[in-house]
Amino acid sequence: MKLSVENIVKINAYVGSLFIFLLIFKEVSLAYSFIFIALYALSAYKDFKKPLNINRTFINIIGILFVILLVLRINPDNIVQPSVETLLVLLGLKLLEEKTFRDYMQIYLLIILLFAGYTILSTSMIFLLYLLVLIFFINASVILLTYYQQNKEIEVDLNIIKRILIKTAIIPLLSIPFTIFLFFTLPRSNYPFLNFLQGQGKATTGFSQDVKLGDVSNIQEDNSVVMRVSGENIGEIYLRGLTWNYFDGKQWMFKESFSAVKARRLFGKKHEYTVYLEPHSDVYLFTVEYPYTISQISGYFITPKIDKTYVVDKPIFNKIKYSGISFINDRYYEELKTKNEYLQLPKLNESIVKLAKDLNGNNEEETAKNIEKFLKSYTYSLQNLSVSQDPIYNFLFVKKQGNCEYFATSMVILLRLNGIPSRLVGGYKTATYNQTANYYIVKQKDAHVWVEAYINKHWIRFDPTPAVRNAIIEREKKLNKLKLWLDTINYYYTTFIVNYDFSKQVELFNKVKKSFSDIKDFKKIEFEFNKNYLIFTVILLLVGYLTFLFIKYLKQPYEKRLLNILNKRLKKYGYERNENEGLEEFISRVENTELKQKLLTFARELESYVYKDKKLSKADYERLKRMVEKL
Amino acid sequence: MIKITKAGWLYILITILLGIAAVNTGNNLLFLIVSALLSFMGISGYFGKRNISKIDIWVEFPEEVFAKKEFYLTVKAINKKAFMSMFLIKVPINNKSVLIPYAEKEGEGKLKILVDKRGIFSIKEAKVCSVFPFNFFERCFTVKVDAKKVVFPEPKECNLFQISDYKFKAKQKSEGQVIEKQGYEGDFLGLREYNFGTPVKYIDWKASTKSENLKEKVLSAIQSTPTIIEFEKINMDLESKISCITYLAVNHKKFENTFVKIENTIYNLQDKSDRHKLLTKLALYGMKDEAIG
Repeated sequence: MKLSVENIVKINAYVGSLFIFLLIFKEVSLAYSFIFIALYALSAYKDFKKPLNINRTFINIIGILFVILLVLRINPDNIVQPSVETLLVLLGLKLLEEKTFRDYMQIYLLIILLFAGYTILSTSMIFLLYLLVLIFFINASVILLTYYQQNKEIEVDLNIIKRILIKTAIIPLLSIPFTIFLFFTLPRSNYPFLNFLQGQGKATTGFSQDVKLGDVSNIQEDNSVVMRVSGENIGEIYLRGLTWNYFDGKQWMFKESFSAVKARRLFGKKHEYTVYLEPHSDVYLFTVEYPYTISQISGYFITPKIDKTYVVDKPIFNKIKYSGISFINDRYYEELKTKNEYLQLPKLNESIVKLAKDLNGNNEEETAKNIEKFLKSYTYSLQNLSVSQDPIYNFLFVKKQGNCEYFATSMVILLRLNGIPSRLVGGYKTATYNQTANYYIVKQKDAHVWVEAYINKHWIRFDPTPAVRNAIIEREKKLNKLKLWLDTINYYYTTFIVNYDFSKQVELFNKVKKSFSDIKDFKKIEFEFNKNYLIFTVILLLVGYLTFLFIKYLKQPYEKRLLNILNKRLKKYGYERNENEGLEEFISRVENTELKQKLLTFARELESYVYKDKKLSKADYERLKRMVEKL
Repeated sequence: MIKITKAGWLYILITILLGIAAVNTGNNLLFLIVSALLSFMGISGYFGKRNISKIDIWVEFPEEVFAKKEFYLTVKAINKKAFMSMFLIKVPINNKSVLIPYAEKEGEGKLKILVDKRGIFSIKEAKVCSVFPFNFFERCFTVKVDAKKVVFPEPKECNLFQISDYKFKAKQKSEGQVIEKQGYEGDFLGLREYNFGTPVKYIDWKASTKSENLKEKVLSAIQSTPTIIEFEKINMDLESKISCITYLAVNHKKFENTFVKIENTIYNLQDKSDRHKLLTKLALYGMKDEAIG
C-alpha cells in the first residue's frame, strides 16, 4: 500500500498539536483553550473534509493581534502563562494555513516551545514520560517531513515507511544517554536571574496566614505529595510550618508580636535531614521539630521567625531543596519577655469557661495533660464539621466530633482560660517512611495542627487530636508496593533532576576528578584488573564475536550459505574453488563422474533460482542443503 | 562538504534560545530539553555522515545514446555498510538529481539526460548527497564513477540521393517515407523521357506515339543494386554529413543494400555490429579522444 508522505506529515502535525494541547490544557485559561479548539477543528475540517480558501495575510494579521494582546497582558508576575496561551493560538493559526515544508517545521517548533513553556509551569515527574514520547514523535515526524521536503509528491510503501521509522528510531534511542550526559555537564549559573519565572503555574495550596476552622480539612483530603524529607527514620515526625496566636472565635490569625525572646535552648537527639519541597505557592518552609538551623536556598532569602518557623521572601513556585539540623524533642527552652499575646481569648460561652475550670490540675503541666486527655475522648472526623456561630462551643458540647483544628483550638482556649500561654502550630505529621530510598513522604492529607503550651519557660507540644486520626492515616500508610515504588522514582527525579544545580554540578565534577586522580595509582589497579577481570573480559569478547559471526551468517542469503557448505564439502575431496570461478566451471574439474553428475544436478537446481531471480524459500533451502550433505 | 539549511539555522537558533532560557531560569527540565536538542544535533550529524559513507555509484546508459536526444540514465547506489540502510540519497548529475528514498543494499533511480555533442560522454565522479535525517544539514561527498559512453551524433534527416546524382525517386507514403528504388525488373511505376543508354526494350512505343518524344517505362527494382556511400566524397559540411549518415544508420531498414565507406573501411548498414562500429566512428570522427561531459 502506497502512502503519501504529505498526508502522514499532516496527520502528525495534528496529533502533535493535540498532544501538546492536552499537556498544557490545565495551565491555559478557558478562553484561549476555546480559541485553540475552534481553530483546530476548523483546520481539520479544511484539511481533511473540504478545502476552504483562507487568506494567509488575514491569518497573519490575527496572529500579530494576538502577539500585541500578549504584550498588553504581560507583567513580571505573569509572563509564562500568557506566552504559552499566545503560542497555543499561533499554533492553531498555523494549522489553519495552507501548509508547506516551512509551515510544518514551524508547527513542530511551536510544539517544542510550548513544551518548554510547560516545564516552567509544571515540574511533575510525568514530564520525563512526555519528553520521551515527544522525542520519538518529533524524530519520526521530522524525518518524514524531510522526505516530503525532498519530494513533495513522494509516495512510499507502508512497509518501507515502517522500516524507515523503526530504523531511524535508533537516533532518539542513542540520543538519550547523550541527553543525560549533557544534562549533567551543561554549564549552569549560580544565580539564575530569571528565576522568578519558575512555576508560574498553579501550585498546591497549603496552609494560609489566616485559617478558618475547617479549612485544613479541605487539605486533608488531598492526596498529593507536599514534600519528601530524607534522613534517618526516627518514627513519627512533626513538621513545623507556621503558628497562630490570635483567635477571634472562628478564625486563627498570626499577630506580629514585638516581644523579644531573651534566651532559647534546644535539646534532644540531633537529627539531620533534607527537605525536597514541592511548590505550594506560599512562603512557609517546613522543618522537623525543633529546628536548630536550615541551609540557604538558591534564589530565595530565608527569614527565621520568632516562633521558630522560617519563611522565604517570595512564594515558592518551583521545587526547592534545603537541609536542616533539628533536635528531636517535644519541647524547647525559651525565655519570653511577655506572655500576653499567648493569652488572648475571644468572647466565650460560659460553659467553656466552666469546663476549663473543671480541668484545672495541681500544676500547669497537669492541667495541660488533663485537657489533652479530656479531648482525646472526642471523635475524630473530617465530615460534618461544626460551622455554627460558635463552632468551638458546638464542637465541645453538641457535635463532639471534628478534625484536628477543633481539638487543637479547643485545647488552646482551655489552656488560656487556665492562664497557660499557648499557641496553635500548623504543619504536617507523618510516619510514612520509604525504606528503599530513606525518606519520609509527606502528603497534603498529613496536614495537621497541634498545640504548644508555655510551661516553666518551655514550649511543650501537645497533640489533643485522638489517635483515630492516626488509624485513618495508618490505613492509608499501607501504601501499595507500586505506589511506594513510583514515589521512590519521583523522589530520585526530584533529587537528581529537578534540584540539580550549580553546586551539585561542582560536586559531581570534583567526584569525577577525584576518581581520575585515583587511577593515577595505575600499577595497582592494572594488577587487580588483570587478576580479576581478564578472563571475564576475554569471555565477553568471545561471546560478542561469536554473536557477530552468527548474525553475519543469518544475514547471508540462502544461496551464499549453500555455496559455502558445498565449497567446504568439496574441499574435503581436495577440490578448492578459486575466486571468480563459476560453479559449473568448478564442477567440471571434478574427476569422479558420479559425484560430478550429482553436483551438476545440484548446480542446475540452484541456478534455476538464481538466474530466474526467484527467491529461495526456507523449505527450498533445506532441500538443497540435504542434497549437498548427501554428496 | 556540509551545508546548513534554513531549517538547520532555525534549529540552532532555538537551541541557543532555550539554552539561554535554561541557564537563566535554572530550570532543569528546560536543561533536559536543551540537552535533548543538542544530542539530537550531534547524533543526527553522525547518522547523516554515516548515511552517505561507503556508497558506490554505478551508472548505466542505454545501449545507444544520441546527441541532443534525451535518454534515461540509470543511477545505482550500492550500500556497502553492514548495519545501516541508505536513506534519502540524492545523486546530482548534470544539474538534475536522482532521489533514492530508501534502500537496504541497492537502490536505483532514473535520470533524463540530454547531451549536446557527439563524442565521449564521461562521468568521472558523482556526488552523493543527503539531508538525512532532519533536513538541517546537507552533506555531500564525491565518489569515483568513471563511466564512459560514446554519444552517437544527432541523426538528421536528409535526402542524400537527391543531392548526389543517383536516380532514385522518393515517394511519399502515409506511413512514412519509403524510397522505391528504380530498376528494370519490378512493377511499373510511370513514364519518363527516354534517356539514351536505356535498353531499347524499355521504350513504351504506345506512349511515344501519343507524344512527340520517345518515352520509356520506369520499372521498380526487385533487388536494389548495392549502394556505397563514400563519406569523404559527400559534398556537405562535416557535421551535417555525420548527422546524415547517422540518420541512415538509425533508419537502416529503409536503406537496404546501402554501405558507407569511411577511411577505406566499408560498413554494412544492415549488420548490427558494423552499424555500431560506424556510429562509433562517426561519433568520434575528427576527435582525438576528446571527452565531453
